[in-house]
Amino acid sequence: MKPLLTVNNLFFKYPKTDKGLFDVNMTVYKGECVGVIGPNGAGKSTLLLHLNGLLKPLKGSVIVDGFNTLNEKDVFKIRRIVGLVFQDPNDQILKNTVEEEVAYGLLHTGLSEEEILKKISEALNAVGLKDYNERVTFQLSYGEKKKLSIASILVTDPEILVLDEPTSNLDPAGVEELVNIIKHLHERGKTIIIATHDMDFAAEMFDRCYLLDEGRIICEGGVETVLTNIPLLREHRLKPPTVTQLFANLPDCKNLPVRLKEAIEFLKTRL
Amino acid sequence: MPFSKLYEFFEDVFILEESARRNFFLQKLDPRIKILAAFTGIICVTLIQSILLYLIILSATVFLATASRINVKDFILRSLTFIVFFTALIALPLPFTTPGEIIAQTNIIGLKITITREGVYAALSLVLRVWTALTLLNLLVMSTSFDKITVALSSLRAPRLFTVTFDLTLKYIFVFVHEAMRVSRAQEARRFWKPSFLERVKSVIPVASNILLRSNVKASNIYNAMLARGFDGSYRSLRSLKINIGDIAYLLCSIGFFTLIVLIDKGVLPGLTFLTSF
Repeated sequence: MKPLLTVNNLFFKYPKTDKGLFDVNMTVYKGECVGVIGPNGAGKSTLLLHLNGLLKPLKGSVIVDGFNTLNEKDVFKIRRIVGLVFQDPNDQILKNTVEEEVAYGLLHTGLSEEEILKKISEALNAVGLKDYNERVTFQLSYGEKKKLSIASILVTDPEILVLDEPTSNLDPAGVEELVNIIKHLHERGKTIIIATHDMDFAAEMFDRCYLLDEGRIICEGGVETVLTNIPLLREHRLKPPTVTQLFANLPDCKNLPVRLKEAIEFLKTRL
Repeated sequence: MPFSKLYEFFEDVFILEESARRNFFLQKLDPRIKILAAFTGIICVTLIQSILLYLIILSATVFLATASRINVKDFILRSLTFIVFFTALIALPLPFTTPGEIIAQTNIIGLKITITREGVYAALSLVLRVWTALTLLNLLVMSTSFDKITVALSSLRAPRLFTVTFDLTLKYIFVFVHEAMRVSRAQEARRFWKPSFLERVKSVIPVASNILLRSNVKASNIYNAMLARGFDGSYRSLRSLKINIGDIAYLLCSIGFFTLIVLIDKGVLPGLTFLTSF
């Protein structure tokens, strides 16, 4: 199967610092939900900015559906394929009303007003913001702003949805809603890439994940493998999933669960 | 806290725009027509000199504001706030410095101070001219949301750079005042005493420098978010504008009204010259 996105030996360094990305390799296939996990300052956001062509590799390449981000004329095509949701929705929200905000990306696609309005309704419905069209964006709660920032990316129907720390600053109910929205999108066939240091969320969401620290990929694999490697996670300042931590403390527990559902199944067989 | 007041003001003016979001007479008009009418009014104001005619224009704006359910108190206060500063800085010296018929004089510590009729008239005329022009702009702003003004400017072929800058400036002002408020709040949260006036003034300095640093990062983040969503330097809006018969009628009435005012001021209409005697 041909990958939808590949990062090949990516090297990038911010000027006058030693921070950046060093020999990063990553492959994402269509329909996957892939995580980039790592502590603060690991380079997760920098990596995501490369996927949309906002940052260019100094060495190596980022190929999205056959288009190279280094090729200037392909960048706009890449941005149609890769929708990037920023960590802080306040950085992303540009317009006064919800409707204008969601329409922003579509106005650059040449669609008619009628088509745009239809797509706005669909996108707002998908994130649970139905009938929010006329609301003033700056008066929304943080959770609503987060959903709005996802809707404003979804509306252009990108093949790959990239989210940077989507759970940061959200309350538990907000995280749960977000998990449901992303799962629903994943079920509908969207390819999803998420950067996070929330391991409970990572366990719930990802098929595979990459552990990134100090700009380098430390390991890659299925969540059952990576997230149960407690010493490795601790070494890289990450807190293992709560369920995994709990079962790691139980005697004779060989296959550590990472998700609550698996833990419940496990307990049912024991009790 | 000064920043929270400033934030409330900007929130009200740029974001909530309550009066502009209502659906009454002026709000329903095409923004391009309102811009053209306001522009015609401002040209008229620069051409006339009669105090009474300024007052007639001011009354007309108040009438239109009332008809459009705009809060008249807010409407008048907004432009008056600026006028107070303007008068103090620019117009106040005029009665003392303009030569002419002396109507009052006094001696303060050996300094002879005179007030002339021409000086008072010049000051009053200047203040009223600026106030009227501001009120006309205020009527436009309070009856039209800023995004519609941007769309209208774009449609009126205003330079692209100007339109995009105008659009972004509105957002940035709000974002930075919000940032200033947050920094100021954090500062206040760690203050366990009632600050003196001097302390309050001093406390603005770190807020300002902090905002300057943050603004750089914020600007870069916002620009990245725009690029990520396909921004190519052009200004686009969801809603297209449509001019109807009511808009044309309003524009013609405005042009007619302001032309009449100029003609009266220039004494072209002999029967109405009494209006210019003030």
